[in-house]
Amino acid sequence: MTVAAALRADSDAEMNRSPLLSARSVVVSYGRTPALRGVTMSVGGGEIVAVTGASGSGKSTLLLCLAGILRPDVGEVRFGDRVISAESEAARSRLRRREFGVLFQFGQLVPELSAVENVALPLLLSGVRRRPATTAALEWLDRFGIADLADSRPPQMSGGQGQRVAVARAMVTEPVVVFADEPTGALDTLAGEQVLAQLVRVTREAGTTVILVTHDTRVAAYADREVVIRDGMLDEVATGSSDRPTS
Amino acid sequence: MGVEAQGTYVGLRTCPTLVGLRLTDTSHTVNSGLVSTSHLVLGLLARGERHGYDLKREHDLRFPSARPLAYGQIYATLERMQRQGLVDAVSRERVDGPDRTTFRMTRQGRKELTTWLAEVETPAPFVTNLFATKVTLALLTGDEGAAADYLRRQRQAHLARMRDYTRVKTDPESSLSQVLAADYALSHLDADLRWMETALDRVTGLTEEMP
Amino acid sequence: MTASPGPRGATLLRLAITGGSADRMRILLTAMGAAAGTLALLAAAAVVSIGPSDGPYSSDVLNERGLHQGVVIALILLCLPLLVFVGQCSRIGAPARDRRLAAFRMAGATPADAVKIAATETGLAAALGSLLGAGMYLSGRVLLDRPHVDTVTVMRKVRENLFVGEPVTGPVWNLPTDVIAPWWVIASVVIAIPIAAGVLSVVALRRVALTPQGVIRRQPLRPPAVLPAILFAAGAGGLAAFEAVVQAFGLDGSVKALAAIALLLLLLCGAGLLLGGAAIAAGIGALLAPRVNNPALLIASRRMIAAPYTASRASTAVLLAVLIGAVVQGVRENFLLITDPNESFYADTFSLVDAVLALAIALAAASLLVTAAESVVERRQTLAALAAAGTPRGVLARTILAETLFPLVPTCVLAAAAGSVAVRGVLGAEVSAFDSGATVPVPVPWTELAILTGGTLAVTAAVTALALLFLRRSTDITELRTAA
Repeated sequence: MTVAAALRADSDAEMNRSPLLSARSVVVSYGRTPALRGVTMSVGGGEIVAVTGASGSGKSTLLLCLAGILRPDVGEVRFGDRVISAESEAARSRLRRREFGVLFQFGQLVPELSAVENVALPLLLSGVRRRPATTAALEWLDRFGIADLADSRPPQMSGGQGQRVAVARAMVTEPVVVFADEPTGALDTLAGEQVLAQLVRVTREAGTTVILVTHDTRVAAYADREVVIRDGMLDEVATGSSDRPTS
Repeated sequence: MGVEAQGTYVGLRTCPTLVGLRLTDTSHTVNSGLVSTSHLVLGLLARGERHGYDLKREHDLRFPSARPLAYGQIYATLERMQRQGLVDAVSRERVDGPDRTTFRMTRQGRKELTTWLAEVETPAPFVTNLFATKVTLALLTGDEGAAADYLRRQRQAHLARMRDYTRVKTDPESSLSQVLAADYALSHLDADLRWMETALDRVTGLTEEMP
Repeated sequence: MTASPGPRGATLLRLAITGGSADRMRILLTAMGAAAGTLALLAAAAVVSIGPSDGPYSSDVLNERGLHQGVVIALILLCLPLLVFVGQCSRIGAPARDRRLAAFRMAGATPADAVKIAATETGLAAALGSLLGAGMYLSGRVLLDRPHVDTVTVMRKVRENLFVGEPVTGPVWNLPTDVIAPWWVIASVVIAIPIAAGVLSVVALRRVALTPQGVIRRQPLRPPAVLPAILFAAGAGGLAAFEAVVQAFGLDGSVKALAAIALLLLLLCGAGLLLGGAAIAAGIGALLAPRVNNPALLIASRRMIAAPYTASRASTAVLLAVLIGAVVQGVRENFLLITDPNESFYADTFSLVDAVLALAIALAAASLLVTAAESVVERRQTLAALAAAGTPRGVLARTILAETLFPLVPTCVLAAAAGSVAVRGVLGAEVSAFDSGATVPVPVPWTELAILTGGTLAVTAAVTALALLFLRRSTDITELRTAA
């Protein structure tokens, strides 16, 4: 790929897309410590958005709100035409299971389950029978070139292998949005690049929206655009014009 | 050593930090930013004898983001290297045009190449930092807001460029040398960005420290 | 201030008592367990001290000197589940303490120092508890010393093997508050309990590597299956064919020798069950894991394979209680046939034994609670990630229930069966009835056995459900922010 082609792709990414996921004036406090102090942003369908900021800036909290894991104290989070910040834990749980995929720095794989069982787990949770779930899980592992790991358990894998299995698990339900919080934080550069390249490739192919939280600008560079959080607020200048609140 | 002094330089850029921003020139920016044509030619001759035109073609192929070498420049370099005993003219052939001389590396040439490749480059003693200069000058004019604003927008521009390089890097059709060049550029842009982050924190938090 | 190779006592003390709320919880529970143990042992000591001139008491169990041995054994047996409970308590708040121990190691403490710190903590908590227990005993002795005037029947020995009941009217005590064990017995109980607790916590840490990077728990890969099976089969088989065994080995028929053999075979049975628990858990897991559609069962069965000892460690006390309980039920059935049905003494005694048994099962369940809670807290990161991915808490709760209960069902049934077989083998399946003198079959106490096994499992399930209270806190999203 030439640089000129890359530059063209850059302008493609800035094409206006209808907002799929949005936060409006979101405020979250942990006890007396404010984590988010009124954040407004939106994400279009199929976009890969990096949320960056220093540690403690509130970027992870924003991801938790957008993913419906955490309910904001003030403000609302919308997914399509649903106001998910107003929904019950059970409803948000179902939403996450069906429409979202999550990817964390570590710990998301069940250490006792094999790779293929870990990938099949979200399908089993949605009531898919064991055999078709296993077949689908194997297909995803194969797609990522890690079919040989199918029967390994997470403690036997390297960090990079574990995260690739985790990407397969996040994608197995063919989610609308994938939320990734420092997915390569515990990996060395090359293993991290493999995971990110794999994540970006499959989500672009499937048209999946990705929210990628990271403190590392090299990771953020995998996204189409960047949202900068500073001290619990959106840094509008650093984020750029495309995300200024339009009211 | 004598060779280096007489070398013709390619990839010359006056501001090393800005070099990273020019997509046309990264692979030839080793630390001090300069690689002599002699060493380039020696390196390209390492895999066997070549004539001048082959050398030019191979250079342009292997270093696609570098400025193409002029044939005349290669010819002049080869002549000089022959006088220094670094290369030998092997044969002269004539194919519907001017003479074509094939060159090969001498034992002395290989020694020079090996020494040069193994030599540790002196890290640049200081970096001429355009951003730092701008920020400092903005602060001297008493406008912290402008300095911070500039840093934020510069950060945005840097990240946009990093995205371009990341696309090159992740494109399955990119060659290894393209990926390596992109890695190099990304590392430098990332270093700039980290500096900007720190500078932004200092500017917004510690303006009173400016004398 | 000599140049000692390890930390001084005061340092150990200070290091041992630092810690968070989970540590305080552990210290509190350890102290409570130790207090209860001290109370039971001191009560046993008091019963031993009852002389011919003491009493009389409102309970025949205390008036009959021949029964004192049984009471003492029951009280000491009660200490077994208590000890297991205290041992389990040393694991509460394990992650927090593990980090603390790792930090001590990082700061230069040797592995032995770290074990000493942990043992000191448990020992201190137990010392506190046993002092409290002794205090409770001594004050209880005074507060409950309220003899009332009544008439009780006291057995007087007329000659060898002949007792005559004599009504006695006068002050009657409910409990042996009129006697006290010698001071050195009380003192040694108060001292022995903390030492035993400390030793037990060292034993609990024996498979644990205390490294500066963290605490690593080693477990053998494959739990033993053959040896426990042989032990169990030998024990249960020997008990079932008790008479044949006695004859085959040409043993004399003295009651003491027979009792010793029966006890030995019962011990074999128990050891087989306890050692085999892990293999049974792993076996059930391996049977279920490749087949189940239910995600909760899948995780539970894989967990049983991966950590079979977690289940067996927890169920030790429960299994012992069920085994002994089944023996007691069988013996009752037998005794009630061969004794005077008008004489309420035996029925009363067995009711008392049942009460002790229930207490033991409750204690066993309490240590199970500790294990279940620990397993939730230990896996909090995985659980939090599963919850974040949209796994309903109900699925997680069912996982934890299944992994606790599934291995327990077959072992409990085996324990109950072994206990029943033992009694029938040793005491016979037929006896001559007290009233008719005719030979009648001893009925199998199905109802009692069902209550025993089902009740134990129900209590266990209820207790595990309590552990699920930890689930909400353990699935908190903040758990995802820290490395394991």
